[in-house]
Amino acid sequence: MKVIIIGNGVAGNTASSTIRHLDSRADITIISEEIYPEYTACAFPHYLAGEFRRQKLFLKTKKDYSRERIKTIFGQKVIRVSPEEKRVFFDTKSLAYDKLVIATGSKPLMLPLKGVNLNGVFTLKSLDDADQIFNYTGKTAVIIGSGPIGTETSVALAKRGLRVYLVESLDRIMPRVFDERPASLLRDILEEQGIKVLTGEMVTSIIGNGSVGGIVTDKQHIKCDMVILSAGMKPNVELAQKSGLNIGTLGGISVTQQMMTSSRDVYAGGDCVETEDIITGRQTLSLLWHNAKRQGEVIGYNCCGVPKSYPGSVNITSLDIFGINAASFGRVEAEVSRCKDIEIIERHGGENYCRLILYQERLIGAQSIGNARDMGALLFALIGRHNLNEIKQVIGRRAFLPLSPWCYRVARYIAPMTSKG
Amino acid sequence: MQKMLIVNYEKCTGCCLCELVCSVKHEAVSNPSRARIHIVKWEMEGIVMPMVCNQCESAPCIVACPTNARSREEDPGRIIVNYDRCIGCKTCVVVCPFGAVSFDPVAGKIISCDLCDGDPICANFCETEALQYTDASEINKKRQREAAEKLYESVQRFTMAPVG
Repeated sequence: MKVIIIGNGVAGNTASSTIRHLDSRADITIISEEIYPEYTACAFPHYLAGEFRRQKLFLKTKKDYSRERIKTIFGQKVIRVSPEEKRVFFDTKSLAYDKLVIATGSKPLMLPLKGVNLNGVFTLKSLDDADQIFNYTGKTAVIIGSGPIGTETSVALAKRGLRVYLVESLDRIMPRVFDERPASLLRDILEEQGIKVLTGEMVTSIIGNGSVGGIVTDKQHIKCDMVILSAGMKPNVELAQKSGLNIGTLGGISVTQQMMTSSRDVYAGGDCVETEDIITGRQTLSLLWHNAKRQGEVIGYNCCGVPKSYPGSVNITSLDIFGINAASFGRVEAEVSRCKDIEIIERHGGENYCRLILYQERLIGAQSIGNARDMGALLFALIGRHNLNEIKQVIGRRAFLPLSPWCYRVARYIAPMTSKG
Repeated sequence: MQKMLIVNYEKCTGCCLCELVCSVKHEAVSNPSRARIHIVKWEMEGIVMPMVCNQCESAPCIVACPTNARSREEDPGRIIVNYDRCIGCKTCVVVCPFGAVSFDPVAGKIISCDLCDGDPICANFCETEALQYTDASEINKKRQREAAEKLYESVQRFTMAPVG
Protein backbone atom coordinates (compact mmCIF):
# COMPACT_ATOMS: atom_id res chain seq x y z
CA MET A 1 0.00 0.00 0.00
CA LYS A 2 1.39 3.37 -1.00
CA VAL A 3 0.57 6.20 1.38
CA ILE A 4 1.36 9.84 0.75
CA ILE A 5 1.08 12.33 3.59
CA ILE A 6 1.07 16.03 2.78
CA GLY A 7 2.17 17.89 5.90
CA ASN A 8 4.92 17.26 8.43
CA GLY A 9 3.19 18.33 11.63
CA VAL A 10 1.80 16.25 14.47
CA ALA A 11 -1.22 14.95 12.51
CA GLY A 12 0.88 13.84 9.56
CA ASN A 13 3.59 12.25 11.69
CA THR A 14 1.18 10.50 14.03
CA ALA A 15 -0.62 9.08 10.98
CA SER A 16 2.66 7.83 9.51
CA SER A 17 3.88 6.29 12.79
CA THR A 18 0.51 4.60 13.32
CA ILE A 19 0.54 3.14 9.80
CA ARG A 20 4.11 1.91 10.21
CA HIS A 21 3.18 0.36 13.55
CA LEU A 22 0.26 -1.55 11.97
CA ASP A 23 1.77 -2.32 8.58
CA SER A 24 5.48 -2.98 8.33
CA ARG A 25 5.36 -3.14 4.55
CA ALA A 26 3.47 0.07 3.73
CA ASP A 27 5.30 2.52 1.47
CA ILE A 28 4.97 5.85 3.30
CA THR A 29 6.10 9.26 2.08
CA ILE A 30 5.78 12.55 3.95
CA ILE A 31 5.84 15.70 1.84
CA SER A 32 6.42 19.10 3.37
CA GLU A 33 6.84 22.63 2.04
CA GLU A 34 9.24 23.36 4.88
CA ILE A 35 12.76 22.00 4.90
CA TYR A 36 12.81 20.95 8.53
CA PRO A 37 12.11 17.59 10.17
CA GLU A 38 9.13 17.53 12.54
CA TYR A 39 9.24 20.25 15.16
CA THR A 40 6.76 21.49 17.77
CA ALA A 41 5.57 25.07 17.67
CA CYS A 42 4.15 24.62 21.17
CA ALA A 43 7.66 25.06 22.55
CA PHE A 44 8.31 28.36 20.70
CA PRO A 45 7.68 30.54 23.76
CA HIS A 46 10.39 28.63 25.62
CA TYR A 47 12.76 29.06 22.67
CA LEU A 48 11.99 32.76 22.40
CA ALA A 49 12.49 33.26 26.12
CA GLY A 50 15.94 31.73 25.80
CA GLU A 51 15.02 28.78 28.03
CA PHE A 52 15.14 26.13 25.34
CA ARG A 53 17.88 25.44 22.78
CA ARG A 54 16.64 25.60 19.20
CA GLN A 55 17.61 21.98 18.69
CA LYS A 56 15.09 20.91 21.28
CA LEU A 57 12.22 22.09 19.11
CA PHE A 58 12.75 19.16 16.76
CA LEU A 59 10.83 16.00 17.54
CA LYS A 60 12.53 13.95 14.86
CA THR A 61 15.87 13.86 13.11
CA LYS A 62 16.33 12.73 9.51
CA LYS A 63 17.58 9.45 10.97
CA ASP A 64 14.34 8.91 12.85
CA TYR A 65 12.44 9.00 9.57
CA SER A 66 14.74 6.47 7.93
CA ARG A 67 14.60 4.26 11.00
CA GLU A 68 10.82 4.09 10.64
CA ARG A 69 11.39 3.63 6.89
CA ILE A 70 9.41 6.74 6.06
CA LYS A 71 10.45 8.53 2.87
CA THR A 72 10.52 12.29 3.00
CA ILE A 73 10.26 15.04 0.42
CA PHE A 74 11.04 18.29 2.20
CA GLY A 75 11.10 21.77 0.77
CA GLN A 76 8.72 21.02 -2.08
CA LYS A 77 5.18 22.17 -2.62
CA VAL A 78 2.35 19.99 -3.88
CA ILE A 79 0.48 22.19 -6.34
CA ARG A 80 -2.41 19.91 -7.19
CA VAL A 81 -4.00 16.63 -6.22
CA SER A 82 -6.12 14.49 -8.50
CA PRO A 83 -8.34 12.13 -6.49
CA GLU A 84 -9.58 10.57 -9.75
CA GLU A 85 -6.12 9.66 -11.00
CA LYS A 86 -4.87 9.15 -7.41
CA ARG A 87 -1.81 11.29 -8.04
CA VAL A 88 -0.21 14.29 -6.40
CA PHE A 89 1.46 16.85 -8.64
CA PHE A 90 4.55 18.94 -8.06
CA ASP A 91 5.96 21.50 -10.47
CA THR A 92 7.84 19.00 -12.56
CA LYS A 93 6.76 15.56 -11.44
CA SER A 94 3.90 13.56 -9.98
CA LEU A 95 3.51 10.66 -7.58
CA ALA A 96 0.87 7.98 -7.37
CA TYR A 97 -0.84 6.92 -4.14
CA ASP A 98 -3.24 4.33 -2.76
CA LYS A 99 -4.14 6.45 0.25
CA LEU A 100 -3.60 10.17 0.64
CA VAL A 101 -3.49 12.12 3.90
CA ILE A 102 -3.86 15.88 3.81
CA ALA A 103 -2.42 17.46 6.94
CA THR A 104 -1.62 20.91 5.66
CA GLY A 105 -2.16 22.66 8.98
CA SER A 106 -3.19 26.26 9.47
CA LYS A 107 -1.89 29.76 8.91
CA PRO A 108 -2.15 33.00 10.88
CA LEU A 109 -5.12 35.28 10.30
CA MET A 110 -3.73 38.44 8.76
CA LEU A 111 -5.42 41.59 9.99
CA PRO A 112 -6.09 44.12 7.22
CA LEU A 113 -3.94 46.76 8.91
CA LYS A 114 -1.91 49.45 7.27
CA GLY A 115 1.76 48.87 7.78
CA VAL A 116 1.51 45.13 8.09
CA ASN A 117 4.36 44.75 5.60
CA LEU A 118 6.84 46.90 7.48
CA ASN A 119 10.09 45.46 8.72
CA GLY A 120 9.63 44.26 12.27
CA VAL A 121 6.08 42.93 11.91
CA PHE A 122 5.90 39.20 12.55
CA THR A 123 3.47 36.33 12.92
CA LEU A 124 4.40 33.31 14.99
CA LYS A 125 3.57 30.13 13.18
CA SER A 126 6.56 28.45 11.60
CA LEU A 127 10.11 27.86 12.77
CA ASP A 128 11.25 30.53 10.31
CA ASP A 129 8.94 32.99 12.07
CA ALA A 130 10.33 32.01 15.46
CA ASP A 131 13.93 32.33 14.23
CA GLN A 132 13.23 35.78 12.83
CA ILE A 133 11.67 36.96 16.08
CA PHE A 134 14.48 35.41 18.10
CA ASN A 135 17.17 37.15 16.05
CA TYR A 136 15.47 40.53 15.79
CA THR A 137 16.92 43.15 18.06
CA GLY A 138 13.84 44.97 19.23
CA LYS A 139 13.36 46.83 22.52
CA THR A 140 9.63 47.35 22.66
CA ALA A 141 7.15 44.84 21.31
CA VAL A 142 3.42 45.11 20.78
CA ILE A 143 1.53 41.84 20.60
CA ILE A 144 -1.83 42.06 18.90
CA GLY A 145 -4.26 39.40 20.10
CA SER A 146 -4.21 37.89 23.57
CA GLY A 147 -5.06 34.27 22.85
CA PRO A 148 -2.80 31.62 24.40
CA ILE A 149 -0.17 32.18 21.71
CA GLY A 150 -0.11 35.96 22.13
CA THR A 151 -0.09 35.69 25.90
CA GLU A 152 2.71 33.10 26.02
CA THR A 153 4.71 35.19 23.55
CA SER A 154 4.31 38.27 25.70
CA VAL A 155 5.67 36.32 28.67
CA ALA A 156 8.58 35.02 26.59
CA LEU A 157 9.59 38.44 25.30
CA ALA A 158 9.24 39.99 28.75
CA LYS A 159 11.61 37.32 30.06
CA ARG A 160 14.09 38.38 27.42
CA GLY A 161 14.02 41.90 28.75
CA LEU A 162 11.81 43.62 26.18
CA ARG A 163 9.16 46.14 27.08
CA VAL A 164 5.93 44.39 26.11
CA TYR A 165 2.41 45.57 25.33
CA LEU A 166 -0.38 43.01 24.94
CA VAL A 167 -3.36 44.45 23.07
CA GLU A 168 -6.76 42.77 23.02
CA SER A 169 -9.90 44.08 21.36
CA LEU A 170 -12.31 42.25 23.67
CA ASP A 171 -12.80 43.06 27.34
CA ARG A 172 -10.46 40.46 28.85
CA ILE A 173 -7.36 38.49 27.92
CA MET A 174 -7.70 35.01 26.43
CA PRO A 175 -11.43 35.61 25.98
CA ARG A 176 -12.21 32.26 24.39
CA VAL A 177 -10.45 30.33 27.11
CA PHE A 178 -11.09 32.20 30.39
CA ASP A 179 -14.01 34.07 31.88
CA GLU A 180 -13.69 37.54 33.39
CA ARG A 181 -12.62 36.56 36.92
CA PRO A 182 -9.80 34.10 36.07
CA ALA A 183 -8.74 36.30 33.15
CA SER A 184 -8.24 39.26 35.47
CA LEU A 185 -6.31 37.11 37.95
CA LEU A 186 -3.97 36.20 35.10
CA ARG A 187 -3.83 39.79 33.91
CA ASP A 188 -2.70 40.82 37.39
CA ILE A 189 0.20 38.37 37.16
CA LEU A 190 1.23 39.70 33.75
CA GLU A 191 1.07 43.31 34.92
CA GLU A 192 2.99 42.50 38.09
CA GLN A 193 5.79 41.31 35.84
CA GLY A 194 5.78 44.52 33.84
CA ILE A 195 3.73 43.58 30.82
CA LYS A 196 1.32 46.34 29.82
CA VAL A 197 -2.06 44.79 29.12
CA LEU A 198 -4.60 46.77 27.11
CA THR A 199 -8.08 45.34 26.75
CA GLY A 200 -11.09 46.75 24.95
CA GLU A 201 -8.66 48.45 22.61
CA MET A 202 -8.35 47.92 18.86
CA VAL A 203 -5.22 48.48 16.78
CA THR A 204 -6.04 50.55 13.70
CA SER A 205 -2.66 50.80 12.00
CA ILE A 206 1.04 50.13 12.23
CA ILE A 207 3.23 53.13 11.43
CA GLY A 208 6.84 53.48 10.41
CA ASN A 209 9.25 54.28 7.66
CA GLY A 210 10.52 51.00 6.28
CA SER A 211 10.61 49.57 9.80
CA VAL A 212 8.02 49.60 12.55
CA GLY A 213 8.03 52.83 14.56
CA GLY A 214 4.82 52.40 16.47
CA ILE A 215 1.17 51.43 16.42
CA VAL A 216 -2.05 53.41 16.55
CA THR A 217 -5.08 52.13 18.46
CA ASP A 218 -8.52 53.65 18.85
CA LYS A 219 -7.29 55.20 22.10
CA GLN A 220 -3.59 56.03 21.78
CA HIS A 221 -0.29 55.89 19.94
CA ILE A 222 2.34 53.46 21.21
CA LYS A 223 5.99 53.70 20.21
CA CYS A 224 7.50 50.30 19.46
CA ASP A 225 9.96 48.62 17.12
CA MET A 226 8.38 45.20 16.89
CA VAL A 227 4.83 43.95 16.28
CA ILE A 228 3.60 40.40 16.56
CA LEU A 229 0.25 39.53 15.01
CA SER A 230 -1.37 36.69 16.94
CA ALA A 231 -4.98 37.23 16.08
CA GLY A 232 -5.94 33.64 15.36
CA MET A 233 -5.30 30.81 12.94
CA LYS A 234 -7.29 29.54 10.01
CA PRO A 235 -7.12 26.18 8.20
CA ASN A 236 -4.90 25.81 5.13
CA VAL A 237 -7.42 24.46 2.64
CA GLU A 238 -6.12 25.89 -0.62
CA LEU A 239 -4.81 22.58 -1.89
CA ALA A 240 -7.88 20.64 -0.77
CA GLN A 241 -10.20 23.17 -2.36
CA LYS A 242 -8.31 23.15 -5.65
CA SER A 243 -8.50 19.37 -5.65
CA GLY A 244 -12.28 19.44 -5.41
CA LEU A 245 -12.65 18.29 -1.79
CA ASN A 246 -15.60 19.59 0.21
CA ILE A 247 -14.81 22.47 2.51
CA GLY A 248 -17.12 23.04 5.48
CA THR A 249 -18.96 26.23 6.46
CA LEU A 250 -16.28 27.14 9.00
CA GLY A 251 -13.54 26.98 6.40
CA GLY A 252 -11.99 23.63 7.32
CA ILE A 253 -11.90 20.47 5.21
CA SER A 254 -15.06 18.41 5.82
CA VAL A 255 -14.35 14.94 7.16
CA THR A 256 -16.34 11.96 8.39
CA GLN A 257 -15.84 10.41 11.80
CA GLN A 258 -13.20 8.21 10.19
CA MET A 259 -11.45 11.40 9.04
CA MET A 260 -12.20 10.70 5.38
CA THR A 261 -12.79 13.61 3.03
CA SER A 262 -15.41 13.79 0.29
CA SER A 263 -13.04 11.76 -1.91
CA ARG A 264 -12.49 8.10 -1.29
CA ASP A 265 -9.05 7.15 0.02
CA VAL A 266 -8.27 10.80 0.80
CA TYR A 267 -8.07 11.50 4.54
CA ALA A 268 -7.45 14.78 6.30
CA GLY A 269 -6.58 15.75 9.85
CA GLY A 270 -4.99 18.36 12.06
CA ASP A 271 -5.49 22.12 11.86
CA CYS A 272 -6.82 21.95 8.30
CA VAL A 273 -10.06 20.17 9.17
CA GLU A 274 -13.29 21.05 10.88
CA THR A 275 -14.62 18.47 13.30
CA GLU A 276 -17.46 17.78 15.68
CA ASP A 277 -17.21 19.29 19.13
CA ILE A 278 -17.47 16.58 21.79
CA ILE A 279 -19.84 18.63 23.97
CA THR A 280 -22.10 20.44 21.56
CA GLY A 281 -22.01 17.96 18.67
CA ARG A 282 -21.72 20.91 16.32
CA GLN A 283 -18.98 21.59 13.78
CA THR A 284 -16.04 23.46 15.20
CA LEU A 285 -12.50 24.57 14.46
CA SER A 286 -10.52 23.26 17.41
CA LEU A 287 -7.00 23.66 16.12
CA LEU A 288 -5.05 22.10 18.95
CA TRP A 289 -2.17 19.65 19.31
CA HIS A 290 -3.99 16.84 21.13
CA ASN A 291 -6.90 16.88 18.65
CA ALA A 292 -4.47 16.71 15.74
CA LYS A 293 -2.58 13.86 17.35
CA ARG A 294 -5.73 11.85 18.00
CA GLN A 295 -6.95 12.53 14.45
CA GLY A 296 -3.60 11.36 13.05
CA GLU A 297 -4.01 8.12 14.98
CA VAL A 298 -7.54 7.59 13.63
CA ILE A 299 -6.32 8.28 10.08
CA GLY A 300 -3.50 5.77 10.49
CA TYR A 301 -5.89 3.05 11.63
CA ASN A 302 -8.38 3.69 8.87
CA CYS A 303 -5.68 3.75 6.19
CA CYS A 304 -4.76 0.24 7.28
CA GLY A 305 -8.34 -0.92 7.15
CA VAL A 306 -8.95 -0.88 10.90
CA PRO A 307 -12.14 1.10 11.48
CA LYS A 308 -11.68 3.68 14.20
CA SER A 309 -13.73 6.77 14.87
CA TYR A 310 -12.69 10.13 16.10
CA PRO A 311 -14.60 10.85 19.31
CA GLY A 312 -14.78 14.60 18.67
CA SER A 313 -12.71 17.64 19.57
CA VAL A 314 -12.27 19.18 23.01
CA ASN A 315 -10.71 22.54 23.68
CA ILE A 316 -7.98 21.99 26.25
CA THR A 317 -5.51 24.74 27.07
CA SER A 318 -2.74 24.63 29.62
CA LEU A 319 -0.15 27.35 29.90
CA ASP A 320 2.46 28.55 32.30
CA ILE A 321 2.42 32.23 33.23
CA PHE A 322 5.54 33.09 35.19
CA GLY A 323 5.44 29.78 37.02
CA ILE A 324 1.70 29.72 37.58
CA ASN A 325 -0.32 27.17 35.67
CA ALA A 326 -3.52 28.30 33.98
CA ALA A 327 -5.72 25.60 32.51
CA SER A 328 -9.08 25.53 30.81
CA PHE A 329 -11.24 23.15 28.84
CA GLY A 330 -14.68 23.13 27.29
CA ARG A 331 -16.90 26.17 27.10
CA VAL A 332 -16.57 29.42 29.02
CA GLU A 333 -19.48 31.06 30.80
CA ALA A 334 -19.34 34.08 28.49
CA GLU A 335 -20.24 31.85 25.54
CA VAL A 336 -23.30 30.32 27.16
CA SER A 337 -24.45 33.03 29.56
CA ARG A 338 -27.66 33.54 27.64
CA CYS A 339 -28.72 29.89 27.94
CA LYS A 340 -30.97 28.67 30.75
CA ASP A 341 -29.93 25.93 33.18
CA ILE A 342 -26.39 27.27 33.48
CA GLU A 343 -24.76 26.98 36.88
CA ILE A 344 -21.33 28.24 37.90
CA ILE A 345 -19.30 26.78 40.76
CA GLU A 346 -16.31 28.83 41.82
CA ARG A 347 -13.67 27.98 44.41
CA HIS A 348 -10.94 30.40 45.33
CA GLY A 349 -8.53 29.21 47.99
CA GLY A 350 -5.23 31.04 48.46
CA GLU A 351 -3.14 30.48 45.36
CA ASN A 352 -5.64 28.21 43.67
CA TYR A 353 -8.72 29.19 41.75
CA CYS A 354 -11.16 26.96 39.98
CA ARG A 355 -14.44 27.43 38.17
CA LEU A 356 -16.89 24.91 36.78
CA ILE A 357 -19.51 25.64 34.13
CA LEU A 358 -22.53 23.34 34.31
CA TYR A 359 -25.42 22.98 31.91
CA GLN A 360 -28.38 20.96 33.14
CA GLU A 361 -26.15 19.52 35.87
CA ARG A 362 -23.58 18.28 33.41
CA LEU A 363 -20.12 19.73 33.20
CA ILE A 364 -19.46 21.63 29.99
CA GLY A 365 -16.37 23.57 30.96
CA ALA A 366 -13.81 24.22 33.66
CA GLN A 367 -10.98 26.69 34.30
CA SER A 368 -8.27 26.55 36.91
CA ILE A 369 -5.37 28.68 38.06
CA GLY A 370 -2.70 27.22 40.27
CA ASN A 371 -3.08 23.51 40.84
CA ALA A 372 -4.51 21.65 37.89
CA ARG A 373 -4.32 18.17 39.37
CA ASP A 374 -8.05 17.49 39.51
CA MET A 375 -8.86 18.92 36.11
CA GLY A 376 -8.42 15.52 34.48
CA ALA A 377 -11.23 14.01 36.49
CA LEU A 378 -13.43 16.96 35.58
CA LEU A 379 -12.46 16.53 31.95
CA PHE A 380 -13.60 12.94 31.99
CA ALA A 381 -16.84 13.92 33.68
CA LEU A 382 -17.31 16.33 30.78
CA ILE A 383 -16.49 13.80 28.07
CA GLY A 384 -18.59 11.09 29.68
CA ARG A 385 -21.46 13.58 30.01
CA HIS A 386 -21.86 12.46 33.60
CA ASN A 387 -24.61 14.09 35.58
CA LEU A 388 -23.04 15.47 38.73
CA ASN A 389 -25.80 14.01 40.86
CA GLU A 390 -24.80 10.57 39.60
CA ILE A 391 -21.26 11.27 40.65
CA LYS A 392 -22.45 12.37 44.07
CA GLN A 393 -24.25 9.06 44.42
CA VAL A 394 -21.10 7.12 43.66
CA ILE A 395 -19.13 9.14 46.15
CA GLY A 396 -21.76 8.61 48.82
CA ARG A 397 -21.72 4.82 48.55
CA ARG A 398 -18.61 3.21 49.85
CA ALA A 399 -19.13 0.01 47.87
CA PHE A 400 -18.99 1.85 44.57
CA LEU A 401 -15.85 3.80 45.27
CA PRO A 402 -13.25 1.42 43.86
CA LEU A 403 -15.28 1.20 40.69
CA SER A 404 -14.64 4.78 39.76
CA PRO A 405 -11.63 6.24 41.49
CA TRP A 406 -11.68 9.37 39.41
CA CYS A 407 -14.98 10.37 40.91
CA TYR A 408 -13.02 11.28 44.00
CA ARG A 409 -11.17 13.97 42.18
CA VAL A 410 -14.43 15.59 41.22
CA ALA A 411 -15.94 15.30 44.69
CA ARG A 412 -14.34 18.27 46.33
CA TYR A 413 -15.78 20.60 43.75
CA ILE A 414 -19.37 19.57 44.06
CA ALA A 415 -19.81 18.97 47.74
CA PRO A 416 -21.57 21.04 48.89
CA MET A 417 -22.93 22.28 45.60
CA THR A 418 -24.87 25.16 47.07
CA SER A 419 -22.01 27.16 48.57
CA LYS A 420 -19.92 29.51 46.47
CA GLY A 421 -16.43 30.89 46.85
CA MET B 1 2.70 -11.94 31.46
CA GLN B 2 3.27 -8.30 32.20
CA LYS B 3 3.33 -7.22 35.82
CA MET B 4 1.06 -4.49 37.12
CA LEU B 5 0.86 -2.42 40.25
CA ILE B 6 -2.52 -3.40 41.62
CA VAL B 7 -4.37 -1.41 44.24
CA ASN B 8 -6.63 -3.36 46.61
CA TYR B 9 -8.66 -0.46 47.92
CA GLU B 10 -10.36 -2.43 50.69
CA LYS B 11 -7.01 -3.23 52.27
CA CYS B 12 -5.61 0.29 52.48
CA THR B 13 -5.45 1.60 56.01
CA GLY B 14 -4.19 5.06 55.09
CA CYS B 15 -0.81 4.67 56.83
CA CYS B 16 0.83 6.57 53.94
CA LEU B 17 4.07 4.61 54.21
CA CYS B 18 3.99 4.24 50.43
CA GLU B 19 4.10 8.02 50.00
CA LEU B 20 7.08 8.27 52.34
CA VAL B 21 9.20 5.56 50.76
CA CYS B 22 8.34 6.79 47.26
CA SER B 23 9.63 10.27 47.97
CA VAL B 24 12.71 8.89 49.72
CA LYS B 25 13.54 6.66 46.79
CA HIS B 26 12.93 9.19 44.03
CA GLU B 27 13.70 12.55 45.58
CA ALA B 28 15.98 11.54 48.49
CA VAL B 29 13.74 13.30 51.01
CA SER B 30 10.98 12.06 53.25
CA ASN B 31 8.20 14.27 51.91
CA PRO B 32 4.83 12.71 51.04
CA SER B 33 3.80 15.72 48.97
CA ARG B 34 6.62 14.90 46.58
CA ALA B 35 5.57 11.28 46.13
CA ARG B 36 4.16 9.74 42.97
CA ILE B 37 1.46 7.88 44.85
CA HIS B 38 -1.11 9.74 46.85
CA ILE B 39 -3.51 8.53 49.50
CA VAL B 40 -6.75 10.44 49.14
CA LYS B 41 -8.68 10.51 52.38
CA TRP B 42 -12.14 11.35 53.50
CA GLU B 43 -11.52 11.21 57.24
CA MET B 44 -15.15 11.69 58.30
CA GLU B 45 -16.43 8.94 56.04
CA GLY B 46 -13.50 6.67 56.79
CA ILE B 47 -12.53 6.30 53.17
CA VAL B 48 -8.93 6.01 52.00
CA MET B 49 -7.96 5.54 48.39
CA PRO B 50 -4.46 5.13 46.96
CA MET B 51 -4.21 7.00 43.68
CA VAL B 52 -1.33 6.24 41.38
CA CYS B 53 -0.60 6.21 37.66
CA ASN B 54 -2.50 3.42 35.94
CA GLN B 55 0.04 3.24 33.09
CA CYS B 56 -2.86 3.50 30.63
CA GLU B 57 -2.50 1.72 27.31
CA SER B 58 -4.08 4.62 25.46
CA ALA B 59 -2.94 7.31 27.82
CA PRO B 60 -4.51 10.77 27.59
CA CYS B 61 -1.26 12.25 28.91
CA ILE B 62 0.66 10.89 25.92
CA VAL B 63 -1.88 12.20 23.40
CA ALA B 64 -1.97 15.61 25.01
CA CYS B 65 1.78 16.20 25.36
CA PRO B 66 2.69 18.97 22.90
CA THR B 67 6.34 17.95 22.65
CA ASN B 68 5.91 14.16 22.59
CA ALA B 69 7.86 14.04 25.85
CA ARG B 70 5.67 11.29 27.30
CA SER B 71 5.77 7.78 25.90
CA ARG B 72 5.02 4.21 26.88
CA GLU B 73 7.69 1.62 27.53
CA GLU B 74 6.72 -2.00 27.25
CA ASP B 75 9.15 -3.49 29.73
CA PRO B 76 8.05 -2.77 32.41
CA GLY B 77 4.70 -1.50 31.16
CA ARG B 78 5.06 2.10 32.22
CA ILE B 79 4.84 5.67 31.04
CA ILE B 80 8.04 7.68 31.05
CA VAL B 81 8.99 11.31 30.57
CA ASN B 82 11.78 12.54 28.34
CA TYR B 83 12.95 15.49 30.44
CA ASP B 84 14.94 16.85 27.54
CA ARG B 85 11.70 17.49 25.68
CA CYS B 86 9.37 18.37 28.56
CA ILE B 87 8.52 22.08 28.69
CA GLY B 88 6.52 21.84 31.90
CA CYS B 89 3.27 23.05 30.35
CA LYS B 90 1.39 20.65 32.64
CA THR B 91 -1.12 19.63 29.98
CA CYS B 92 -0.51 16.05 31.13
CA VAL B 93 -1.48 17.07 34.65
CA VAL B 94 -4.66 18.66 33.31
CA VAL B 95 -5.83 15.64 31.32
CA CYS B 96 -5.04 12.73 33.66
CA PRO B 97 -8.40 11.41 34.96
CA PHE B 98 -6.74 10.07 38.10
CA GLY B 99 -4.69 13.10 39.01
CA ALA B 100 -1.70 10.77 38.88
CA VAL B 101 0.66 13.20 37.19
CA SER B 102 1.95 16.09 39.22
CA PHE B 103 4.46 18.85 38.96
CA ASP B 104 7.09 18.72 41.70
CA PRO B 105 7.84 22.39 42.34
CA VAL B 106 11.04 21.65 44.29
CA ALA B 107 12.72 19.67 41.54
CA GLY B 108 10.86 21.64 38.87
CA LYS B 109 9.70 18.62 36.93
CA ILE B 110 6.71 16.51 36.00
CA ILE B 111 6.51 13.29 37.98
CA SER B 112 4.39 10.18 37.83
CA CYS B 113 4.84 6.57 38.88
CA ASP B 114 7.64 4.83 36.97
CA LEU B 115 7.25 1.48 38.76
CA CYS B 116 10.72 2.02 40.22
CA ASP B 117 12.26 0.34 37.15
CA GLY B 118 10.43 -2.92 37.86
CA ASP B 119 10.56 -3.24 41.65
CA PRO B 120 8.06 -0.75 43.11
CA ILE B 121 9.15 0.20 46.58
CA CYS B 122 5.63 1.09 47.71
CA ALA B 123 4.47 -2.48 47.10
CA ASN B 124 7.49 -3.79 49.03
CA PHE B 125 6.62 -1.69 52.05
CA CYS B 126 2.84 -2.04 52.04
CA GLU B 127 2.06 -4.12 55.10
CA THR B 128 -1.53 -4.94 54.27
CA GLU B 129 -0.81 -5.89 50.64
CA ALA B 130 -3.07 -3.09 49.47
CA LEU B 131 -0.37 -2.50 46.87
CA GLN B 132 0.84 -5.50 44.95
CA TYR B 133 3.17 -5.76 42.02
CA THR B 134 2.28 -9.03 40.38
CA ASP B 135 1.41 -10.66 37.12
CA ALA B 136 -1.73 -9.08 35.77
CA SER B 137 -3.36 -12.43 35.06
CA GLU B 138 -2.79 -13.59 38.65
CA ILE B 139 -4.76 -10.72 40.14
CA ASN B 140 -7.70 -11.47 37.98
CA LYS B 141 -7.67 -15.15 38.94
CA LYS B 142 -7.59 -14.28 42.63
CA ARG B 143 -10.67 -12.09 42.36
CA GLN B 144 -12.45 -14.65 40.21
CA ARG B 145 -11.78 -17.29 42.82
CA GLU B 146 -12.94 -15.09 45.68
CA ALA B 147 -16.17 -14.26 43.84
CA ALA B 148 -16.67 -17.89 42.80
CA GLU B 149 -16.26 -19.05 46.42
CA LYS B 150 -18.90 -16.59 47.59
CA LEU B 151 -21.24 -17.73 44.86
CA TYR B 152 -20.57 -21.37 45.68
CA GLU B 153 -21.41 -20.78 49.35
CA SER B 154 -24.71 -19.11 48.45
CA VAL B 155 -25.63 -21.90 46.08
CA GLN B 156 -24.79 -24.53 48.73
CA ARG B 157 -26.92 -22.77 51.30
CA PHE B 158 -29.77 -22.56 48.85
CA THR B 159 -29.68 -26.20 47.79
CA MET B 160 -29.14 -27.48 51.36
CA ALA B 161 -32.05 -25.50 52.78
CA PRO B 162 -34.63 -27.83 54.37
CA VAL B 163 -37.90 -28.21 52.46
CA GLY B 164 -41.30 -28.05 54.03
